[in-house]
Amino acid sequence: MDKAPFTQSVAIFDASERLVDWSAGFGEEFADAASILSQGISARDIYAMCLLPERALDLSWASGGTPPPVFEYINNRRSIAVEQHLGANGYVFRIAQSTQATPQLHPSMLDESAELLRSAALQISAAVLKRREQETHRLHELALTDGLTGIANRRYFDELLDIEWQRCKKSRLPLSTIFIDIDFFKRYNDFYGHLSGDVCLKIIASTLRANLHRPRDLVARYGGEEFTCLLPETDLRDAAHKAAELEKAIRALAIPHGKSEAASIVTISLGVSTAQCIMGDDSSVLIRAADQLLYDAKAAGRGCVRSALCTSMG
Amino acid sequence: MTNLPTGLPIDLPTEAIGSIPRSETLMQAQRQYDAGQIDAAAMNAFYDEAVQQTIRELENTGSRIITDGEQRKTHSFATYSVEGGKNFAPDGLEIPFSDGHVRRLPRLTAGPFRYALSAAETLPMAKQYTQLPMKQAIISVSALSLFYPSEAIAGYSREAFLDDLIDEQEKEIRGCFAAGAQKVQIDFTEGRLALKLDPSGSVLNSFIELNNRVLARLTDAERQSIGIHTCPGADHDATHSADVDYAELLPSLFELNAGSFYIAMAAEADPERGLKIVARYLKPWQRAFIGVIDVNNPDIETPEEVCARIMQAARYIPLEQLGTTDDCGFSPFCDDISTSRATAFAKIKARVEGTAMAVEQLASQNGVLHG
Repeated sequence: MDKAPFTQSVAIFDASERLVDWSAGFGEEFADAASILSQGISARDIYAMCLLPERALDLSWASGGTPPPVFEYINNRRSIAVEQHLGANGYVFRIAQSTQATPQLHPSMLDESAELLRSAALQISAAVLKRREQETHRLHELALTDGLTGIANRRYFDELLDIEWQRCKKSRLPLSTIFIDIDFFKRYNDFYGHLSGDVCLKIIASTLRANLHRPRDLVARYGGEEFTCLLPETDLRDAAHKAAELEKAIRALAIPHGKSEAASIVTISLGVSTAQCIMGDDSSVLIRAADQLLYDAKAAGRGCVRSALCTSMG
Repeated sequence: MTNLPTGLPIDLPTEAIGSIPRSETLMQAQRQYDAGQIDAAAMNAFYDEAVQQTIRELENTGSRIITDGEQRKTHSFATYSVEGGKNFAPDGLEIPFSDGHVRRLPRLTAGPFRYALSAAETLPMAKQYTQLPMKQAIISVSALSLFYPSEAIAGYSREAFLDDLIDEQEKEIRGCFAAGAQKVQIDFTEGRLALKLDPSGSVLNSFIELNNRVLARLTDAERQSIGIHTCPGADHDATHSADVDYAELLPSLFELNAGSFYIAMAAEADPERGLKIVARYLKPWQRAFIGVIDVNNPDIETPEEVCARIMQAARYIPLEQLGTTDDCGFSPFCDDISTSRATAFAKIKARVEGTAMAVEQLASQNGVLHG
């Protein structure tokens, strides 16, 4: 049912209201009459083929010489603004375009109460649109947020990583990522129960988030007990420093962990990787490098940071 | 477009819009009640009597599905749900009609928005008087949205108001179905008016979105049992938006997620063109109940005239998607005496008989008798 949208439609009629020339847009505007559009066809015949309001193609004003003001009508659910001019030898120039401009009040209702009514209706319309935008935003947030911890989810992290990868590459800026794993978290869950495990995840997530202060920094829940941080415009030294801060912040929580071999409290292991000078388009190399460094941290006894430059790009 | 496969029975449903003129007795009682001369219990007795009487007369028209004639909708189809609400003032927006008279809406003065009178509560009071299936008409959320004034209400934003409105309407529709309504009709007369207020169509589209937000909360089966009524308004034999072209309204109207549409057509200047527009934009799962009774014309249509209008509609609209109705209610406002009750019932009877006549003609064209 939907026709190809046109942005502008132009047509010229002679003094007898017969078609002289027209643009492709005019053919789309009066699509029902496409089969009869030809030089010499009358405006009335074109209109008669179409299921459109009469004013859409009413050139009767031309005999009087004064073109009507710009008006709007609706064509297949699209708002069209029509402007007409009288040229030499009685030629009529008709220009129509899709528009979202402020609508004019219907001429038969130009009085104060009609204006009030219209104003109220327009404000309701604006409120409906505002609610729609809020709902869209909420759904977007839901799709990108981890339901348990309230921080970003892996999908959001992946999307943002790609965006920042391209931005930092273009601007020749470093990009760092930190991979984080809660040490012996399965044992924590088994020992304290899953509800306590969930509480522990929430506390750690909020602590990590609280320790990232720059607007572009992001912490996300990557998987079960895995978190990740994205630090744009951050070199290896600063990223490793931030990782150490995070490790200390979690340690400071002093959440008891009776089954950890690393400490008597909950600790985290961290792998930090930095792309100092980005090449190529594959951002996953940074993830793989950080993941490998996380394993190195675990192998080194957990509760510590391992960091390195990412050298396997392109 | 009589395009049913040969041999299949033809069923053309026919339904009234809803309102039947009040009797002088009921109008007098309403005036006395408004003046504080009779109490609510006495007024209720008048309503009850009016509903009983109206149902009896509607049954006599041969209708297969009826309403309570909207006898309990106090002052109008648009305002009944909030009348008596403490957070309303009488000085709301005015709706201008073609003959120069206006109807004034109530104005919301504070939140929260709540229905003072629910159709779901009045429906059972009518159902006890009939064995026929019943349809319940309710006012759309978009019409109710116009109760919020131009100046924002402190502490109650338009957005919060719209949220309340949607919640209330969902409750109302579910309540009507729970009370036994076979169909629920949403009166959307402001759809056409919206285009008059804003020819760009953005207000109309917002109104449609607002109603769709309510409909989205229902099941597919419930949505199929919901109808949308559009007309140019009918009050004292005048309209508020008859000059708005269907070519601009209907393509958007059918975006409403409902199964049935009740479309004024008998009084249209060029019904054939209107029918072509309906046929083009009606979705396959939707049924168009075409108006075959001009409620503003005092002349009573003959069944033959009705039949001719249906045969014309059947040339454009597939029979399985066609139904018949009146262009509008006969008295959406309680004090509209431009049409008598006798005329309203006679017109309804003509619609029922004319529809049966059309079924016979279409069946014989199709090679079967109706089932």
